[in-house]
Amino acid sequence: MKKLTISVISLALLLLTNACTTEYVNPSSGNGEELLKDVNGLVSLANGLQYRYTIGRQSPAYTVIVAAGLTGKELRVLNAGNTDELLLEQGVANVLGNNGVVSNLWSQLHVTKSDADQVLAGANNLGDPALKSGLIGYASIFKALSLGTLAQFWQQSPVTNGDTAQFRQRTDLLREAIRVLETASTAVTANPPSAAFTSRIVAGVDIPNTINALIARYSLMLGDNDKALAASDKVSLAVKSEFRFDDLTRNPIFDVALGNINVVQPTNLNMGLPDALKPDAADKRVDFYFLTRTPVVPAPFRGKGFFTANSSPIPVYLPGEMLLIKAEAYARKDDLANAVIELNKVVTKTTDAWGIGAALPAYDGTEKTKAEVLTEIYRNRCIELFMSGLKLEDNRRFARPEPPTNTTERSRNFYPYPFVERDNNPKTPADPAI
Amino acid sequence: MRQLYQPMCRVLATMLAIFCTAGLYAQSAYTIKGKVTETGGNAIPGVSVAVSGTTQGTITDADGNYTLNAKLPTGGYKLVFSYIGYAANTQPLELGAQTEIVLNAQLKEDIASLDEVVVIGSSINAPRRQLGNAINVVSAKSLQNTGTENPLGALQGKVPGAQITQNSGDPAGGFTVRLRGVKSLRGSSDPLYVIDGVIVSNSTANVSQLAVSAGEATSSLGTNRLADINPQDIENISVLNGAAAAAIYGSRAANGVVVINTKRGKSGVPKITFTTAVGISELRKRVFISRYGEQFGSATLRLHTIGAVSATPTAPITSQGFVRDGATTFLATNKVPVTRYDYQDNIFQQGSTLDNNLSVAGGKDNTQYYASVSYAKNTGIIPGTSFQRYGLRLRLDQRLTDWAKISAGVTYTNSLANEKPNGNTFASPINSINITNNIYNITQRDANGNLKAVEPSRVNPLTVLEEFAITQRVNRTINDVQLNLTPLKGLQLDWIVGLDAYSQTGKTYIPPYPYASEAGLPAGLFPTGFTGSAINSVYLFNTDLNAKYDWTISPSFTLNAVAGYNYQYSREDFSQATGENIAPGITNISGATGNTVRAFDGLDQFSINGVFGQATLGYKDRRFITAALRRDGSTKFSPSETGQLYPKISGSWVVSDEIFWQNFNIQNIVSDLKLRASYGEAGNLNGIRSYDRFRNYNPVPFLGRNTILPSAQLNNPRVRPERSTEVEFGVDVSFFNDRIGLGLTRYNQQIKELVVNRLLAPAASGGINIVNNVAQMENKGWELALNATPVKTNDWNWEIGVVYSRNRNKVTNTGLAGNLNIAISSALGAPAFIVKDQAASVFFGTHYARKPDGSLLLTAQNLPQSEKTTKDGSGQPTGAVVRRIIGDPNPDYTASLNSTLTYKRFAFRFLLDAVQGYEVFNADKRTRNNVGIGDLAEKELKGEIPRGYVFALVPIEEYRIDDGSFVKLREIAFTYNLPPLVKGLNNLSVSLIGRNLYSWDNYSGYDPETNAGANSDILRGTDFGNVPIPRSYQFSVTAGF
Repeated sequence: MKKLTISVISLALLLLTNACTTEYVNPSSGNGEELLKDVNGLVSLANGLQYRYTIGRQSPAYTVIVAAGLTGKELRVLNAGNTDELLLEQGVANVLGNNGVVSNLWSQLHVTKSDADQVLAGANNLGDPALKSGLIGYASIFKALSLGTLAQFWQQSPVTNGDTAQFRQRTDLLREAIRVLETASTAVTANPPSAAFTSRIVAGVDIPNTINALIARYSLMLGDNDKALAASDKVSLAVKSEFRFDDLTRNPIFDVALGNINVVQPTNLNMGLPDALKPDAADKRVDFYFLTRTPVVPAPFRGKGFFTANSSPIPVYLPGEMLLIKAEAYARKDDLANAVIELNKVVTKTTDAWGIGAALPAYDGTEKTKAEVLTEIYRNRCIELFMSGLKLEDNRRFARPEPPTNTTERSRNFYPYPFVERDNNPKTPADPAI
Repeated sequence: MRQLYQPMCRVLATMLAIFCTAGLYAQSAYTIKGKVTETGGNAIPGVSVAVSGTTQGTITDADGNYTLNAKLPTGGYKLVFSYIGYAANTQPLELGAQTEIVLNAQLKEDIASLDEVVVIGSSINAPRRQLGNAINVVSAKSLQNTGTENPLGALQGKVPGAQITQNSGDPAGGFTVRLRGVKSLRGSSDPLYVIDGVIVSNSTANVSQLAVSAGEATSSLGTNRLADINPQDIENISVLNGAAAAAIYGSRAANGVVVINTKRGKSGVPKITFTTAVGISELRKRVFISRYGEQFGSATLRLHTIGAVSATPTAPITSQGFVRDGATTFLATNKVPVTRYDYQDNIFQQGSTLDNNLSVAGGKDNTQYYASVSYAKNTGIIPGTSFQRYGLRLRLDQRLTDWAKISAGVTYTNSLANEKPNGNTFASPINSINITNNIYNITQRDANGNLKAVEPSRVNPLTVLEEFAITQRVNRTINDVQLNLTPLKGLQLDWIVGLDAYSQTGKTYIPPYPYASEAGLPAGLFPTGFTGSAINSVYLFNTDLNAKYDWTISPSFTLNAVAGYNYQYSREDFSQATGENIAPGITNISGATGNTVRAFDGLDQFSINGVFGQATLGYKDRRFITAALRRDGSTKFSPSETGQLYPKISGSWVVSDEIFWQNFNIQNIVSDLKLRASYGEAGNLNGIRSYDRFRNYNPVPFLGRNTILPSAQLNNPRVRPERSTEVEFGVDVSFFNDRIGLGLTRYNQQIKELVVNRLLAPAASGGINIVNNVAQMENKGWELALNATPVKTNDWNWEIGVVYSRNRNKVTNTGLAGNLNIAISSALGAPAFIVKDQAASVFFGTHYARKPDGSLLLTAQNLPQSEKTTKDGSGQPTGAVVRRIIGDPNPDYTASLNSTLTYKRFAFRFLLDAVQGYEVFNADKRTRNNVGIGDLAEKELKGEIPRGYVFALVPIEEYRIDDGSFVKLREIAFTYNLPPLVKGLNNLSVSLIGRNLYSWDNYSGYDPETNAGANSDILRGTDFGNVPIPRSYQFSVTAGF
């Protein structure tokens, strides 16, 4: 009897001790507060910025190229089962705030920006200046890409997070992007990122060149031609800056679209340009961007470009974009001679760091009006920067035919604000008419 | 929280210690014996004989005799004889000078069973008359000869308020059990399962179907693990349908509780039972596949009914423009000859079933045992699919002292499932024949014996059958030890320790396709091959400490009080690795090239601490009121949310025992009448994952550098259990001396604080969603159970039973801003949504434009079209396409009819099971017609419907909605009990059993009882390449020695 009593009591005590645990920790997850204080944590989170920006169908790397491509007629949908893409292709009133591509674009850019803000805040508390500058440079690139890309698709957006954050005009977003990049540029110039940083960060993005390239890009969008010229001048055209991929973290455009014939493919060899502006038959860039010029059933024109394998890198910017920024900035400053010189660097080059070369005879700029030169620059942007995600912004900036009256070149001016934002944020402004 | 809990833990431990050492009082040894018989005089074995208020008890042997050696103080006692399906018989027992007492008892079969003792909580029982709520008990007899080796399958059509659906005809396919409707929008609505006091897992962890990719979030693929339980070991199953009945199970009881009691040994000579069943299964119904020898355009035109061709095609192709939603598409109008095959000939086979069970039960006064060994194998109707299960079981009951007894159960199960991709991918056996144009001879092989490519980007269906290897092995043990102490008269102390531990090992192998590049297979089909392996180790532990006290306050008043403490711990350790580009000859993950290998490791742990108290006050054994309260804390919620309280109150009134009723003189007509009412609250934790209250920072593989991706789901420290409040009223009435029994229940469940993934404004929050307790829904319904014995003579016995359940689920708040719809993602494109004021979930989608008289409003080209916002001048729809509710996968009602007719040694039984008034989203219908092999495609080729018809239907989702209502001949069995042949062979019976032999329905697919969302409770009624439920025939022999 006693034996039984004793054993029951001891066992009961043993079992009940365990019952008093009140918290279990997830071993597959880091602790946010600690990560943001720790240099290794911050570098891991910085790598997470690129992951969020480039990996998967919801990532901006996919949505930016596909959205701009579908709205700007570069791409077409092959299987109507891809409803969100199809509605984007149809454009105008078919694009609603519930469109998955549009919502993903908005959400992921904002989350990237919010995460970048955390990394920047954490980096500012670090001691080592060469690690700090690397983190600031890297995180600033993603913050600027997020803000600059939002400005390409929406009229307004908040610049900071928080319930009280006001929606600001897209020009404010571009200015903020440039400001962030300029701060980063100063930090990186003063203390070049050390090996301790570069050996831990995902390779591919060249920080100093990318900072200047993006300053040039967004300055041009803002109409600050002088700053665009100055910044693009600082970019080394021989250096590649790229988002890298592998078999596990795949090039999203290849993985989702160009690797098969089920989602989207280029519309045709015109690269979304009207017949009057279509690529010259001898333009070698068509061969760069297309598998073949001969139509094949059932997807007549299959794209190639930077999307040929799981591991194909996607350029952050192209050397050709820098030359065309200069050409456009000169042209807009009415310096047509320099504009044509820069334009012809693109038209006549046979290759570049990425192997892109039109290999065409030079454009004859004599007796051409400013408008004609700008149109030629636009045409070359559309060909040289095919499927880069810049099409919608370019089409608008060059004042091409406007929907809804004319939807031949683009089917929207700006996107509506996603329902997820409108439904949960009373500050969301009215949608653009088209 | 530690501060609060530790004292509580200490108090409980001390309590246990005090009780264990407490009172040994003056007592003498008595021997009570006798025989228990039926009304007809037949002995009843297995009747429980217990001295009320003590642990002294035994069970009658095969001849109905019992001997109970009891050490008890002298005094007045009650001896209670009880057995499932019979009214309990209570006899006064006076223990005095005489130490040997003979007490015989007669038990009356009682369908209404007011005195039947049922389980209401862990180790807590009560006679039905005390209960304020419906509890349905299914006995072993109803689980025999059902033709299925799955315990949930055996329950189909037998429980009021339960909708039990077989989601797939795959031998390892899952079942969904829903008691009184959907309970959660984010988690499972599966009830809590308790076997002999052990909380067991019925969860579905997908370890084998690893080669499925996008869109799978909602589907819950695989076997739910109650498949590991052998129905032959089950003595009875009690089903507590809702919060009102289950409140004392606390935070996990809102979905209801299924309490399973397994068989126990009986004193007497060892009784050996051997059962063997062999059978076959086959496809019940084929779907229409066109064999018409033509197609549009050319033989290489894919999706020839809808595939666009040029406006100016090259001869011989001709084309015509068809306008759909404002856009013109050119379709081929010429036809070319082709040879069509019906691949159903290639992918279905005759399956087989084998089910063997051997059990030995026996014991002496202080020790009883039950041991069994079983083996079941079910080979599917798709070649290469099977499910087999070995099981061992031992139950030992030992009396330790005159005031203590111990019971221990040990179960081991080993199962192996051979699977094929189960829907949701175009590489599943059924989908591969739906998605492939049937103009290829799929049996052709190249010189090396490899199967050849079929349509570009499609898999040869035979590759799936011959080459894919998908297995799942499970080792499982469920064990319990229970100690019952009666230290004082009227006081009982029960302590249960239960554990359920299992490991699932799944492997998937898809070899590189020999024709991968020729067929241009997309990445999603893994052209270079795929392997995956996953292991899920699960450990569930629970311990319950219950103190019960029965007190007769006065001759009129009794009080039954229970206090309990309960601790549950769950640990689920899941790891998985997958890879592609497989080395030749290697079939597991070792053969994958390193750069494609992905690994994942997840550990989920939580615990629940609960204390509860319950008291039932009885007046003259005919009026009862019960009140209970449970308080729970769990590691799933923050310390601030830990004091979750679940109250319950219920009452019952046995009107027919009242004096005034007996004066009415209508007992001849109404033999028993009981009214009951109940209110209770219970929680549901299934929607809350263990770490949902935190923001998780997830590591991701990224180009060889440490990368952490903060989850877009922000933290919410206020996450707490979903809470279900239920009110239930009912009446139990029996007529004509219990020849007819009727139970009727009306319930109303209000479920609040439902967890949803609430979307956030990304710009404002920097996140995408947060887990939040914001949604609400309700379930209201009726349940009816009617049992009757119209004929009962010495030779003839006819029993008939009807079960009817009707539930109306309604989401009263979707939890999203402005009550927006919540889209439920699915791989098959079903427009499943959670919509305010509708059931969860419904199909909300595009629909036909119709004229006022309901007929289709056709386009200028005489084709159907989608309804749009307005009409243009010519009366044609224009503007944006509009959507509405087009279907509801929740049935209007479920009903079943069972009948058993016995004549001497013959018995004939059948069960009709009906699910009526619900819709199925039949994705396969459109696929077959788009591919050009369906019925409409053939009609279009024959010119019976206009060209462009199938094309016109593509965007109209209503077209894929089918009526799913069915009545199935679920079970049918002829049994013959042979007369005694040889000495020692006590009984021998043979049965012919049929299962799912026939279905009355208008469904155009294989079987409306199916779900591509598999065991998901939210994505229901979807048909997408699912394996149809076969019909099966069995021959079974049972021998008792």
